[in-house]
Formats: sequence, C-alpha cells, structure tokens
Amino acid sequence: MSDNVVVTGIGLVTPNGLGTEDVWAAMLAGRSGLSTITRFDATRYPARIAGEVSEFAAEQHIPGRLIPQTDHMTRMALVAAESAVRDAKVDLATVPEFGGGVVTAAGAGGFEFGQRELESLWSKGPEYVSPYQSFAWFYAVNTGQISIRHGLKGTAGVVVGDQAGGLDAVAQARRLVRAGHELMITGGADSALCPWGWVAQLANNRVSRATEPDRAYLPFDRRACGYVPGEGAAMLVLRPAERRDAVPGYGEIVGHAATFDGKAARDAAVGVRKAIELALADAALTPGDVDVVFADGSGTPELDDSEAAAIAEVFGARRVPVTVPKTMVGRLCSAGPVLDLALALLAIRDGVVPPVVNSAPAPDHVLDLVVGEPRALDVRTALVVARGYGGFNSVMVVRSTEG
Amino acid sequence: MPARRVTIEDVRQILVEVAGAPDPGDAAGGVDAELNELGYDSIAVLAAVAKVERDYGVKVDEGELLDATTLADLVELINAA
Repeated sequence: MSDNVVVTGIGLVTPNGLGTEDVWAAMLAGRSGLSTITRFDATRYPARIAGEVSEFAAEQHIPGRLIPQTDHMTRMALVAAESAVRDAKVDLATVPEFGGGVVTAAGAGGFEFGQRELESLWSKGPEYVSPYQSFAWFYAVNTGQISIRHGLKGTAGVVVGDQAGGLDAVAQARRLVRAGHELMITGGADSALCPWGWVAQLANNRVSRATEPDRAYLPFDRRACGYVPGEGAAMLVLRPAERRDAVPGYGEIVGHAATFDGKAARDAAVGVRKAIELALADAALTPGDVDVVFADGSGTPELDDSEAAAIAEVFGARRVPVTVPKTMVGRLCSAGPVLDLALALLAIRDGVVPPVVNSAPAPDHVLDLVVGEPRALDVRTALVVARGYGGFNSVMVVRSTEG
Repeated sequence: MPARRVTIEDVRQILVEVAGAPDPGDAAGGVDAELNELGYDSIAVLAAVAKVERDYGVKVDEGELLDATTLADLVELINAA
C-alpha cells in the first residue's frame, strides 16, 4: 500500500449551502449565511449573530428511526458523510469487511439534545429523560452513527480539539489509510446553537457582540471584534491512491502537523509558525510551493496578529494569497477546517480562490488577503491553518493529484 | 396491571413516538415481528417502556425486558405488570 492518500469524496452542510456544489457556488458568490439567531430567542443574550443551517429538514435525509436518537449535529454529520460516500462513487460492499473506518472530530457534543433532556430531568423527573441521552450528546456519537449507517467495521475514533480537531481527525484517518485501511470517512460536525451551548461559547469572551451580521466577524481587520459561531458538517472520503475507483480524486493530503501554544501570548505565533513549518516538512515542500493559505482567522486582534505574523514569517510578507471563507459561515468548530480543506480542493479543481467577506484589512496589511471577490489562481498546493481554544494548532497541506 | 389492557397497536405507536418509525420493509410486521428486525434495539424498548410506565402508571419488570424479543412478548410483559 502506498503512502499517498487521496480525497475522493466531499460532503458539506453549512450555513450557506447544502451539498458541495451549492456551498461552493455560495462561497464564490460571497453569499453569507450569518444572521440574527432564529433557533431560540437570543434577545436577552449579549451576542446574537450566528451561522445557522436553516434550510435543513433532517427527515428528508435520514431514516425516521434515527430522528429520536440524534442531535442536530449528528443529523448533519450523517447527511454530509452519505453525500461524501456518494461523491466518491465507491461501492462500500467492495471494501474489505474491516478495511473501512471512521474518524470524526467534535468540539461540543450534542448540546441541543442534552439541554432538552436535562430540562426534562429537572422539570419532570428522571423517568422523562430519553434513554438516547446516554449517547446522543456524546462527542464520539457521530463516528458511531456513521460507522453503523455505512457498515464500516474498521478502526473508529474521535478527536476533540475545537477547530484544530477537524484537521487532526483527517490526519488520523490519513494515518489509518497508510496503515492499510482502504477507505476512511473523516471530518467534523458541530452545533451548539441552543441557550446552553450559546452561554458555554460566550464564556470564552471571544464571541462577537456586534448586532449586524456583516460587522460581526472581521478577521485581519482593525475593527475585528470577535468571531461568529456557526454550525455545520464537513466530511471527506479518503482512499489510498491506488484504490480511487472511478474518480480521479480531488487531491492528495501531503502534509500535516499539530503543535500546542505555551502560556505566553507571544508563544502563539511560534506555535502556529512551527505547525506550518512541520506540515510543509511532512509534505516535503517549501513555502514557495504553496499557492494559497486558508487562514484560521480568529477574528480577535491578538490572535489575528499572531497568525498573520506566523504566516508572514514562513512565506514572506504578502508573498502568498490568504483567504478566510469562514467569514461567510462563522466558525464551525470541528467542521470549520474540514470545510476549508474541501474548499482548498475545489480551488485546485476550478482554479479560483473563494474570498474573505466583510473584512477590510489595511492596504499595507502583512497578508495578501483575497478580499471581497474570488481570485482566479492556478492552485496546485494549498495550506489550511486551524487553531483551537486553549492553544491547539493544526495545519494540513493538500496538493493536486495531477503531476 | 394497567388500568386497561395495552394493545399491540398502543405499543407500536409508542415505539414510533419515542424511537422513530420502524425500518422500511418491516413496517407491516405483525404481532410476532422481531423488535430487532423492526430496527428497535434495547434502548428503543427501554424508551418505550418508560413511556408506558408514565402513561399507564405501571412498573414493568426490567429484568425480563431482554427476553421480550417480539412485539407480542413486550405487550404481554406490560400487561403482566
């Protein structure tokens, strides 16, 4: 089995689209999915803007049996995974019985389900709590449900690491393909847009309190005032290069590295820079090989500054185009960087980079940001940066399979 | 014993309510339909029994739940409570 691991399928559910091509078209059109929260009454909360997946009727996509036992995040995960498998044009019956596995990331778990059952517990009593609460809230549940749904009996796992966890899950799936798995479903899914989930996020003091959706999440802009939480799912199918079946694949995962920040704020730039350097080393590439960077874009000034410094130190000031398409959907926690990976692969396919929206970086900003409009660009290699609350950094490099 | 006898249809409806519609293809399963074949695992049965206990004010013997493999078994167990 070769070490070359190829992405052959993509499945996306995001606040600005349902399905890969729908999301991609929205991203190129600069169509934002950010709005005032509708899922619950947020008027009494200090932050009210989010990226909601609103046009999603779970009953149309997954079996009725799964509805009472799944949180919203799991339903999105199942839909994205099925879509990725369909996209990969693989007959799962041809995969050896224990040769297919699942590794997903989740940052929050099933908050909405959990809140409902806890409310039943304290207001009515334990006999009113659904037995499905035993697993429906859990971080690992998406991996389990996907593996059951698709009959994948190989290695399964889950990674919890906020945004960075999404890339770490894909990295683990890549290791498992290299170790002999013929197929891995991997990615992230998260949603915590209920009062309980919302206050848990507000506690980090980084959630934007802006009241206008187009002013709320402005990474690398002097007006940056925090980030907008979003929800969604992004799943990929990974296969060894020699088992791509009928599809050529979107691209190869050629590099990954993860690092951890120290306590001091100055360590953050070092941690991100080191992750970028190590991922490039893993890919046996140099900074000059990278055509575009999908930045983490935290949206808080100090974190933006440390990321910009890290990117500029590795690549040189304004030497590589940088984009933050998540400005259109918010930070999707574990799904966020997997969405970025998918968009990077689509940028390779179509020769165009989706933009940062709403942000207006200073003209002399150290990064060459793709602002407002998509940029036509021959992309062979893309690098994705993901940072998680608490100092997790994860960086992944994808490359065209052509030549 | 419940105030009135619980029927197959009662239990079928409660299962749909708490654990979702049965798997397609088996939806028309009769009284001897295996709960597993309908897609209802032990957690689904627990959820249904919890609702029966709330609605009918009975206490079902949980020790015997795992032996109830068909809809008819489950109904019998409930009516014996």
